[in-house]
Amino acid sequence: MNLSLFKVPMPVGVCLVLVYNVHDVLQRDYHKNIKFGFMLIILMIVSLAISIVTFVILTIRAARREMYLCSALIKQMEATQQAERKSMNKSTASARANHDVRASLAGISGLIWMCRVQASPQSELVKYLDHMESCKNDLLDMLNSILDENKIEEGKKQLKEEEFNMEELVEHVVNIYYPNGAMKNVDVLLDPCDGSIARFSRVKGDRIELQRILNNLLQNADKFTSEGHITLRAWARKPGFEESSNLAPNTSDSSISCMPCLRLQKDEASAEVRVLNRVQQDPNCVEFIFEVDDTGKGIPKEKQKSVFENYVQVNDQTTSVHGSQAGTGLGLGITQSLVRLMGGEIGIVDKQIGEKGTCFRFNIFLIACDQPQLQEHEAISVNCAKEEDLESQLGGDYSVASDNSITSHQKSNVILFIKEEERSRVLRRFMMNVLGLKVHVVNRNEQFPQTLKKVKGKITNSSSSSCKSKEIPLSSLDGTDIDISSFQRRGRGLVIRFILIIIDTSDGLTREMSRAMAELRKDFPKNVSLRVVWLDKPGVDEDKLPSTDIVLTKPLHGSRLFRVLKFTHETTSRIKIQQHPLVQDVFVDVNKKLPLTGKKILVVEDDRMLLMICRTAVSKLGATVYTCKNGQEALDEVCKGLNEQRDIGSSTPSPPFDYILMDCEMPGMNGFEATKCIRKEEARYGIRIPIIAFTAHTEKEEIDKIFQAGMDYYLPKESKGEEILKVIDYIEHTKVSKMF
Amino acid sequence: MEVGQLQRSFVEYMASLFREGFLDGQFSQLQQLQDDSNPEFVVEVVSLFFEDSERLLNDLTMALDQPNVDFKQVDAHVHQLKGSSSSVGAQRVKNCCVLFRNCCEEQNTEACLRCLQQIKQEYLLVKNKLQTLFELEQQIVAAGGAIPMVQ
Repeated sequence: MNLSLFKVPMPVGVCLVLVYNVHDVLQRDYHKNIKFGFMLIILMIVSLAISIVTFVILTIRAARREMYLCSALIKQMEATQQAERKSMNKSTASARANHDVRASLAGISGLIWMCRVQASPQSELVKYLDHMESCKNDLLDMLNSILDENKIEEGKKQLKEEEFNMEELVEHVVNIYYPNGAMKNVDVLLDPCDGSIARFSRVKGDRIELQRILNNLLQNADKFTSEGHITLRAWARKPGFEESSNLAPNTSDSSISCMPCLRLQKDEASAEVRVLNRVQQDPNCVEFIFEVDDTGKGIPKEKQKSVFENYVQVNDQTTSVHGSQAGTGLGLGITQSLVRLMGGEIGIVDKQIGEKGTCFRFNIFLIACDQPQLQEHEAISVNCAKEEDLESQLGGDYSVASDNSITSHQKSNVILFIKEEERSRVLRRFMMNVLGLKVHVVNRNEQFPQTLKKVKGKITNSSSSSCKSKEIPLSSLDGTDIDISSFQRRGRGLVIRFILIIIDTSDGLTREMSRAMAELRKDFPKNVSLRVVWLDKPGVDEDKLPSTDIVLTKPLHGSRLFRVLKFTHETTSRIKIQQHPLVQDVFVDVNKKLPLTGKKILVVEDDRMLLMICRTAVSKLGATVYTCKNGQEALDEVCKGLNEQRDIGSSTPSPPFDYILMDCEMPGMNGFEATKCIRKEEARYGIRIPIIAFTAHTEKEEIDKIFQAGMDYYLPKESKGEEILKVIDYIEHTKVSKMF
Repeated sequence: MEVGQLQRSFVEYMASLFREGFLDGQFSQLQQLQDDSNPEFVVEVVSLFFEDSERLLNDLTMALDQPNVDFKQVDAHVHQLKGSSSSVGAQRVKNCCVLFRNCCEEQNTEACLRCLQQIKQEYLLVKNKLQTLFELEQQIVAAGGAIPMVQ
């Protein structure tokens, strides 16, 4: 009985235990679960919170960025609109400015015309007016070019094709900047290099654009150079296979970075351009290479690339040398575009260490019009900027170094006395290398007389001892183009040698130099012709110069240089010196036989009008005219001439003048007295110069006076050419008849 | 006016000057001395003639204005004027000078004054003629033509 009771609570107990156990477990598990659940829930909530927060943050950020972008966009739109407006304004402004500038230029043009009508022709004023006219034309061209600028950038620019003269163009451009440079002592010169431009002078292409390019480069050079020189070098060649290597390196050296892949790209690009360019496919295509070299500020390496970008100035502060020279920096960009349009490339050439300044080089392709020579001989490659010229620094006596005894005495000699260093160097190089002349450079006044003496001594020796052959020694010609036909040839009378003296007298001529010149002229060997070129002003009175002398104004380059060289009766040059139809032959052709050629006549007259008439009449007859204004001067001249004879100590003194035309009535010492004094002076030397009287009276007493004074004959005052000649003839005949 | 027309008027004008005695052979010789190497020779010479003549005429006026006229001085001036006008070929002026010198020899002040008046008139006439001639030349050159040679 007890057991059964016990049995009931046992399962209950068990159950309870179980329950408690389960409860415990449950409770424990429950706790666990709850904790777990809690943790999960917390986790979830946290992550939710985080994501919400993140979401919010991102949204905010996005919103902010959007706001920012919006505002930026709005700003950009505004800026664009503003830029467009500016551009439109600029167009209208430039159109208006264009109109205004043209109107002003037209005004200037009219005024120049009016000045010209009023100015006396052939005066300096007319030359200035001509220059003004061409400057005005250049301004007009520049104006057109500014309008063209957009066209080029848009690629719509068309190059014109018209014939023009390359030589003239380069000279014209250099001459534009010459006066400017001269003002600040910068010499602007044209370096003919190997003379190839002369061969390819007639070309077809766009003259205006090429001038714009050269103008731009020279203008920059002028702006940034305050001392030294600016050189424009130009040479031409037939494009050959060497091209591919030449095009790219010129530009890539400095303007493109060292990345080889870029360089390669550029090569290909340029090669492609070359292939496509219509001009270069033409068989008559000629490549012209130009260099503008200056000794100015220079462009730092890092800025060299960017100068070709429009509107970038190298110098931030504007250099104002003459007024405000604030450059727009516009030029080089257009220049590069134009050069590329012409099939070439432009770049900056590295100078040697120690040389300051910049050197731009570019090449273009043009079609040559007439090809005078079919053969293609190599242009003498003159490494223009790099040659060492120690010899010119040593002064005159360098010829010892390059003496070739067989041919040297047959070469023609040039004595160069030019103040500007670089120009002197360029001329010397050209004459020596291209023309094959022997050049003596004189650097200082003191060297001049000894150089003259040396040269005269050499030719006197060689002319007396050398053979009388009249053929040009082929050894000095190298068998290339010999163009003798453009010079006068008279059979066996061909003069084969000449001495050319170029003297720069802007600083005046010292007495030693004048004496040395006079010395040189006396007893000059007959088979050598002497030509003296005076730069700027003649050393002595212009009337006293022999008619073979030339007086030129600076600058000596281009057509002036060729004119000088042309009158040297022969050529050993490898270029054909062409005659420009525009250049007038101002000088009397020496070979034409005029009745009084070679005679020295002294005209003594106080009235300046009569003096002018007489002088012109006599020089038209071919004589060399010297003038005096009164009797005393005439006496002095004759005495001086006679004294010089004595100084030289020649045994048979030659009279200083062949004839004297003497006016009878002059203030101070009149004609009669002067004649008497002259006769007295002459008696000491045993000379008698024929004196012809100019008189206004023809009465018998007058004639008697004339002959009593010692004059030989008389002429009415207003006599011009014919009568003078008749009287001279008469005198000659009486002289001759007296001898027999 | 076109070039041909200008040239024709030039030739006619030149011929008339010779015909009427304003210019003579000396002027032709002067023209012959002009050439390409000396293209402004005639103009320059004539300008000098104008300058000298005006100076001389002034001197003459002053000399004849004196209470005591120095006839030697007057004669010297006229002599010079005769010389330069003769060289240039201004025939009528030269002839007047010859007459003037006769008056000077006679020492006749009244006659001299009349002569002076006449010379001045002749001088102004010839100056006018020559200036017109040069303007014609300039017009021809400006029109691009060449100045015709007149025998």
